[in-house]
Amino acid sequence: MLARPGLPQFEYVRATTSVGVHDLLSTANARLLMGGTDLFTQMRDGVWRPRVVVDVKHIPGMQDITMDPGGLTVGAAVTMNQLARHPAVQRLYPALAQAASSVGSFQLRNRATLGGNLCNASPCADTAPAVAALEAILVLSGPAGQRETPFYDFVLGPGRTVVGTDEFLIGIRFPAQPAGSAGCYLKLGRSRMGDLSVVGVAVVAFRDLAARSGYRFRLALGSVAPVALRVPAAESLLAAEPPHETNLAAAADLAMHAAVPISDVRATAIYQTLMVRTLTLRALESAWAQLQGAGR
Amino acid sequence: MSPKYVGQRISRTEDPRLLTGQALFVDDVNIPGMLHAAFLRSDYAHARLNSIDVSAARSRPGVIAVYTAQDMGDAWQHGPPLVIPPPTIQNMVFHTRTQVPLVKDKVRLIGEPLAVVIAESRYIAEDALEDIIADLQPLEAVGDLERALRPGAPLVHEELGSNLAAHFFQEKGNYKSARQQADLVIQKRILIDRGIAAAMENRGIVAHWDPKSQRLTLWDTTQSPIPIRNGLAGMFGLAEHQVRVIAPFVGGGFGPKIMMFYAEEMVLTWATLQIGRPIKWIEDRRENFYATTQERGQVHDAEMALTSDGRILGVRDSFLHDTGAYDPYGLTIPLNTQCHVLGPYDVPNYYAETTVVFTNRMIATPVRGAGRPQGVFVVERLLDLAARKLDMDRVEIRKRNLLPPDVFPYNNQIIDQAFAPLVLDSGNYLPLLEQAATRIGYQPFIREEQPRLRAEGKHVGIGVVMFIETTGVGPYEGARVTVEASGRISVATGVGTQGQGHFTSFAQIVADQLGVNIRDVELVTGDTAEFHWGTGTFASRGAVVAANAIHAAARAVRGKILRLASKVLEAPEEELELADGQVRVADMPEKSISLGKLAVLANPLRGAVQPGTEPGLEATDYFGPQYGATAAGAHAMILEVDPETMMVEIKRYVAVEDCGTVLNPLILDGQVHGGVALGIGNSYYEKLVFDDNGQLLNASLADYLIAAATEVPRIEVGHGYTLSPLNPLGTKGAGEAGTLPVPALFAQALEDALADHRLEVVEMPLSPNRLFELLQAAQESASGR
Ligand SMILES: Cc1cc2nc3c(=O)[nH]c(=O)nc-3n(C[C@H](O)[C@H](O)[C@H](O)COP(=O)(O)OP(=O)(O)OC[C@H]3O[C@@H](n4cnc5c(N)ncnc54)[C@H](O)[C@@H]3O)c2cc1C
Repeated sequence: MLARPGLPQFEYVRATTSVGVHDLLSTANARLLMGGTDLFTQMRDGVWRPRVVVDVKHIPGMQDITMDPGGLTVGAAVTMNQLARHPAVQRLYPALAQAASSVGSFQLRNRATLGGNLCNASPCADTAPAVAALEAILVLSGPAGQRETPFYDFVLGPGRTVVGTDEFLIGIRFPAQPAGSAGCYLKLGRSRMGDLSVVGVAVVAFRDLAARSGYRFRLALGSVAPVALRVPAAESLLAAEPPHETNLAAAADLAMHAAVPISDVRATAIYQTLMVRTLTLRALESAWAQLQGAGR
Repeated sequence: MSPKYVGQRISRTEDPRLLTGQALFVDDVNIPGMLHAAFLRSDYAHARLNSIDVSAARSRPGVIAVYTAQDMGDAWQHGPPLVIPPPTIQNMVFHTRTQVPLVKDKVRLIGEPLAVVIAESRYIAEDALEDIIADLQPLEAVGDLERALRPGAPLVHEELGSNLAAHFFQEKGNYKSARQQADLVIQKRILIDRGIAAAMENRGIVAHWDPKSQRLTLWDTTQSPIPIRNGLAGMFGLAEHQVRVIAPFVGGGFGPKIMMFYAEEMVLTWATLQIGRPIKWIEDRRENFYATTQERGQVHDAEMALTSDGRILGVRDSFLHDTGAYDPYGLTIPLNTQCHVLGPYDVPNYYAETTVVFTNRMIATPVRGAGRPQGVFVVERLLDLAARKLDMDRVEIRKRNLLPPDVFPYNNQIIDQAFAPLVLDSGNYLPLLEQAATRIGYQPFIREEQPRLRAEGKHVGIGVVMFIETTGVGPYEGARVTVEASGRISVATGVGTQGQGHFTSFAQIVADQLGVNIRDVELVTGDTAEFHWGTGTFASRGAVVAANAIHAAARAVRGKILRLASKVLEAPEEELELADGQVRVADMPEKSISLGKLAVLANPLRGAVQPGTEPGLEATDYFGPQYGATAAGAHAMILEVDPETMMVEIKRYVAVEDCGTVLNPLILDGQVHGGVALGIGNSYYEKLVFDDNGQLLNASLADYLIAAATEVPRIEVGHGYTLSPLNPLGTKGAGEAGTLPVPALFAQALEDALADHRLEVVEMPLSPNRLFELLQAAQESASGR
């Protein structure tokens, strides 16, 4: 019936250490909580009915952003606003910074976390394409210690990830980017801000002497498949031949053909498909312009 | 004395309370012992209710009562028809079908309430809804207006034998013969779809029957507390004086909060009478998509006959109007549509035909604009398409057809929503059009800027449209103005307030009349215990009807003050002036008395009140206009379209409007801004999407987009001032004006921006996706496929 109940009754547990969390997760009917912007809407809609809600964002390290020679590590509970305004993230991982700042509204970004966005595993998660293009590694904490899993293995389908019932995500590791790498994330919603994406495109690009073209592009699409979609064919094309107008357009066409959107109340599949090409081309051009600018 | 406050751009005196959370809204009402209600709503749009079992819900701890239609017994009755069809229109077919408090045998719209749970908390009430077992047998749903009228269509009201709710036509001149003389006839099918009002505050009610005092108090987010009081008293056999309806601060009305006698209003009132405890129901955002009225769905077959030099010979418009499952609001919306097709133009021949259709959708009642935006869209679109065919400038074709200033009052002959002939009381339209065109820079844009931008590959378009707005309909409003012993002035009027700034603009009128500081004027609106004559805030009538009633009452008090002061100060009335809360002799300022002291003298503790006089400095007065005042305006905008994604950006927006006397330009600007924002939503974002089963597919603010700060540009407001001769203040309404022309304007600017595609926009609302489809279709037909 239409009158849906509001939040069900639940117990709130605020964890300040990971000790005990795994046990709680495996024994109780529990859900993890960080910003709660997905969890509570879904609980309200009756998707989840946990008895216990375990807030893990206060566990040490969960809200830290650290840079080291190996790359960038983002605590799972780092908020979108923290990420978007972090100078090193902006400089070295612009696709990630742009993706984070494209999520919802400013108020929402004060709560919404990167880890939550990835664990929620929505096809239209805005950070997923950037995280995919940056080839991030996700760090999970389980009863037996930590394990790492590349993001391309992480999401199984809409709402489904490899996180075990007794595990939780603690951080996201982004490999160090070659000097002068470029990147961008373009989001298309039905309005200019605040809407969920109809299409999202992330591009990361850098010089690579091992590539025949001298450049390596990584391209990932959001909202047009059950999971964020890398487009290897387009990436190979641009690794093989130096980017120029027709090559970029051909890569955008390949991206378009890779997309498998479905029509819904927000957008038709045809529109989404063609917008993949448009946004991909724009994103590639932007990354290419950045690379050329950096080269001079 | 020259006016001090009226016409001034002064900030709203109510805002500090609103902004600091001190204002009372319905959900702020908390009474010891208060219970909470939750409604079980049908998730089918059309279904037979075979049985409903509430026994499990009744036995849940904390549940006080669960009611179904059966439980209401004789108290179960249809809501009253609010507006009857105009008796002045001949050959009218109208079938009255009004809403029910709870479904008895058949569900006719999605979300229609089946049962109510009253419990100690909203949590318990909502949990108990899950215990109810309703056996619903789904029926084929009626949605599409044309299919609804075909033989064999499923029927919303079987006993009618069809889904026809009403049919009528009106004629001015003779369109048929005008058409024969035409050089050009433009013929279009025009679609306008449904949206919601999406007020910031959803609906809410606290109903409290106090058995000891035998009084019923209802806090209600209504725009019309007095009709609600009178109606509920009648429905439940109470004396009117036993019922007090309070509309406190209301977070946006926009029409759906007019005197609806919503199911929840009827059920909560009945339930508190059974239980004798206060009961609260606050609509949540999702319920708002199913439980609050909506508007705009119409399908027009319209044509315009013109001469080769762009003069309108006549217009014919035959349209279907979606009234939803019931039609308590009569024909207000389609009548407005018919009237606004005539616009500010000289249309000598007009044939309007309306067919109102029952569907399995929420009841349609006025939403800011109330049928007018549809009418404006029809006539403005026809003019634009004619201009294109005639290779004529869009502003020029309008100029050629505007009514000149010397024709007023101008009788358009057809009957309007007030049941009177549509007479345009006053106006001067050409300057409005010219002002809008000049402010937006129409000529320089067309001649220089646009070609330059086009050469740069930009798709930037300009639009200029016009509209009229019938406002300020009767019957009347009233007010009482009192000078208190403290010298403060209290004012009470019956209309409710939903953000219009009444506390400021109404106080400005009184302060000027009585020569007091505006801070000393205290206003009460929307409380039947304070004032119980009147109808409410709707149809852009507050500043016309209520303001003039307040003006009249304040003048009457002024008269009383002068009479008494003349005795006390021993000076003729003509030599007295009211200023700074004092009455003083004009050239002898030391000879004065404060209004407070005078009020005490007017209400003595000893002695007798003279026959034929009244105690105190108080007066009650009323105002009822002869007919509605008609405002007008011209809007213009420049927008840029991304030709690939179809995302738009409004670069500039100019709204020029004429609502006669401006009480407070700041408040007026705010009304215009808000109206335009809704219009932008109506153009490109806000559209309800239903599937074939009548399911609403975007019943959340995640899926149903509302124009936000990123979509609404800075709006430049300009004014014209033709005072209405129909009321002493010379005001016309402005509440809906901002919304009316926006879809028409959007369409014109889009076509201009995408001129290379020869696009025709004949539907609203659009979206980037929908515009993309239209362009694809245009390209396909251009390439002959
Ligand atoms: C108004 C609004 C607008 C939005 N706009 C956007 C948008 O534009 N783009 C977008 O991508 N998203 C958007 N979202 C969705 C949401 O805000 C994001 O997905 C956000 O990043 C989720 O993060 P969170 O911290 O709030 O997650 P939570 O709600 O706390 O958690 C999300 C999910 O992950 C699980 N979880 C939480 N912590 C962990 C953990 N450590 N390990 C494993 N699982 C965990 C939870 O149980 C839950 O299932 C919007 C949401 C709202 C309400």
